[in-house]
Amino acid sequence: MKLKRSTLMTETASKGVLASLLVGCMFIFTGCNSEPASFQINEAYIRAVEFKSDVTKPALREPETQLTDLQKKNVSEIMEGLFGTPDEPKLPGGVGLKGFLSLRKLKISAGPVTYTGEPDNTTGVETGLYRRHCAHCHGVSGVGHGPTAQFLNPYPRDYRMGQFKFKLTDGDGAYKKPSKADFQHLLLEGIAGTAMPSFRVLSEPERDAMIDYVIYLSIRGQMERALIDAAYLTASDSTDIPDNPDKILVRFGEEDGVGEDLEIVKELLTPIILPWANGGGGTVQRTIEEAPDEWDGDESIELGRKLFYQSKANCYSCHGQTAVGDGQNNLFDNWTLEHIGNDPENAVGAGEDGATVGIPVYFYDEQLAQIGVVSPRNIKPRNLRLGNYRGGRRPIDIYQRITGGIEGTPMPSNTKLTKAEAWALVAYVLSLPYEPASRPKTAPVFQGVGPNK
Amino acid sequence: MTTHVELIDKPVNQQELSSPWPKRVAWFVTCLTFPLIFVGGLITTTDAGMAVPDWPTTFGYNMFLYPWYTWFFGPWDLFIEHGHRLFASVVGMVSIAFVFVAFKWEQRAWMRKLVVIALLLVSAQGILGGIRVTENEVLLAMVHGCTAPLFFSLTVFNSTAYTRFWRAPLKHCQTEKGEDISHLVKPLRLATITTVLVYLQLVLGASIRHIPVTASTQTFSTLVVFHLIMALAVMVHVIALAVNLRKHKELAVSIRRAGKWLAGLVLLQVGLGASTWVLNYGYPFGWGETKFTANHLVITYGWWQAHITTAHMAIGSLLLVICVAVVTRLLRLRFVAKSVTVESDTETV
Repeated sequence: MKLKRSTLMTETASKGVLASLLVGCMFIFTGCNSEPASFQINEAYIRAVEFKSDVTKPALREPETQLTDLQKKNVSEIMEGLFGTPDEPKLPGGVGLKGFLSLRKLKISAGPVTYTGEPDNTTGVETGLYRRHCAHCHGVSGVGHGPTAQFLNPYPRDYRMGQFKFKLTDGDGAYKKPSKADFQHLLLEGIAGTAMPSFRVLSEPERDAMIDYVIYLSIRGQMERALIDAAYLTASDSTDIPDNPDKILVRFGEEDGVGEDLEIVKELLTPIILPWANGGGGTVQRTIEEAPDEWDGDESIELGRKLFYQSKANCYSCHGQTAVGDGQNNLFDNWTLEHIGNDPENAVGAGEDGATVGIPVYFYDEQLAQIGVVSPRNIKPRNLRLGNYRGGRRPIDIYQRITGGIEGTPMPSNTKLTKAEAWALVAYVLSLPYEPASRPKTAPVFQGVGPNK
Repeated sequence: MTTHVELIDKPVNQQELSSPWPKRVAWFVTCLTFPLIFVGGLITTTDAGMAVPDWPTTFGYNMFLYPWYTWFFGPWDLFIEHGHRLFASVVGMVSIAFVFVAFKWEQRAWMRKLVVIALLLVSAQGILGGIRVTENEVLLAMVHGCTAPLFFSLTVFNSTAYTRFWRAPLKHCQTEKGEDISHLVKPLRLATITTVLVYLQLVLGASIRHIPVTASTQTFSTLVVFHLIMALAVMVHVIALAVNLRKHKELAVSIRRAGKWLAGLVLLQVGLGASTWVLNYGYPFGWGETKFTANHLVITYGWWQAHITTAHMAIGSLLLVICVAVVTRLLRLRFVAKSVTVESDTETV
């Protein structure tokens, strides 16, 4: 009897041990070590600068030149000096940023999620809003590839290019920075059809604090890119101090180099900050009052339908003959284009300057994946029959997308349309979801384009 | 000559309870633990774990003397976090009461030990939750989340030890005296494997829910893929177990019914898992490009997001404890049947 019982106990115990071992292995395997949060240098941009052939910045594209570790370290140190750390953000002084962003709000958003108890306050004050609400997708540095990014479609925005899609500030064919009101609207409404949520359960001050932090990360990211460009320019400039490939930025932090480097930093930072401060400081937002009378009448819709297929608006070429978004599917947004370059091993000839021209390919590889860059995807035009407009479904939002374009994407701004024509297109686009699917309007015979040509 | 066994296992006869209180308290702890786990899950879902930054005090107050008005009518984060602490304290106190009750009326020494272990486990769990707050460490929050189902499992085991089935398993099963029950090894093995798989799945789920912001995309992606693979494995095992238990007509109704519950819950769980993803991250694989899905909006901490996500976690725990209950009953049945066989053999000799 005792033998039987002990055998049973042994069996049960061994199973328990096995289960515990498995569970232990799972803990180790999952690797959920919470490292301290830090701003990581923009390695993806460094690689883009080093490998990509870009006609707009030929001087930066010396394929033989690479940033040294010392230069990268200097860039990181300058960035920390200017902007602080994820736990202790700072704002650089003397460049007009402190009037635009609030350091108090940044500190509410920064740091780990916690509440700070205050005297006579029994509920505390919450800090770490960004890490609580944004960082899992956008990353601690606003890189757009936080832990969850790989499965999201579209990918979360990388703030560091300073480009944002949906805003009411663009106009006259020029992209401008979004205003804080644009961010407020976006955080309140979310982006339907994507993983970008609505933060309507948060209070307006909480959303305000997060907005300041997002702008801070964006300005920080732009500055970092500018510093990398500057470091690369000096590294590839063989006419100046040829023996010292690290040049200007090497001296940052040293007694004799501080003044010069600070001047450079200020020169780089000012043009980055100005558009933000202007965009948020006083740009008049577009409103529905701009719309002409009867903009959504039948005549207007009919005019919009014609324009849709005309080269003046040229909507059909991307959104397709039936507006289901099947016109083209081979284009990329700017965040992906950054990782596309010429493949020198598959050269197809020589360019005007004699340089080898390769076949455009992604240089997305294991190394980029290692630093967290998500695999590239094509950007798809919106299926206008679904009634889902990511930039907002208000008529003014559609109007803005048509006339101002969508920054960072192939959707261009259109300055050729008159105001009445643009509003007619808005009316037509908004009518598309209600048009029976069996009755997609055929394109009119006009200028030899469209399905009836 | 088939005779159904009437309460034959003598050791159990000696365990006749002298009071109904151990059983009542055992079930009370179990019933309290499930909502406690749900509330704990709700804290993780709404990231409210740091709403009270100190421990064991609450904003400097003794936890039990914290102004109830501020707690009840204050911010949601505070309400749920402080409420979780109070609720957990209740479970802890009932566990202490269980120890007293067990030492007064419980005859089985191993049972008294288990009750003490349960108290130690719930105390450790409380301390773990406290350190998670004082250290503000998400990894500890994950361990805290993984320990809760273990405590829940123990409470279910303890409750099972007070059931009528436990006292006379052969009576509840259409098993003949001295019958070879080796054919029950397969459902027992299947139930044990399923239990382990469900727990591993819970650990994976906890890892996803507590992923640090500094983790890489690869880590999260790997966890999600493993969670999906494990979901398939769990589903297959649970359904196989349910089918297997259904075949064994001689088993107690409670065991076969547990199989049905498991099968139903695992299907519900798959639905909840898919809904959790959609409510948190939108539709995957371009499935959001249809008339019905295109306008789906994720709402942070929306009612559906908070409760469906938490229900997914809680149903996982429920699956685990039902598996534990099945394993416990099958083990008990086997143990008693073997004891009877040994006794019969001894009598024959």
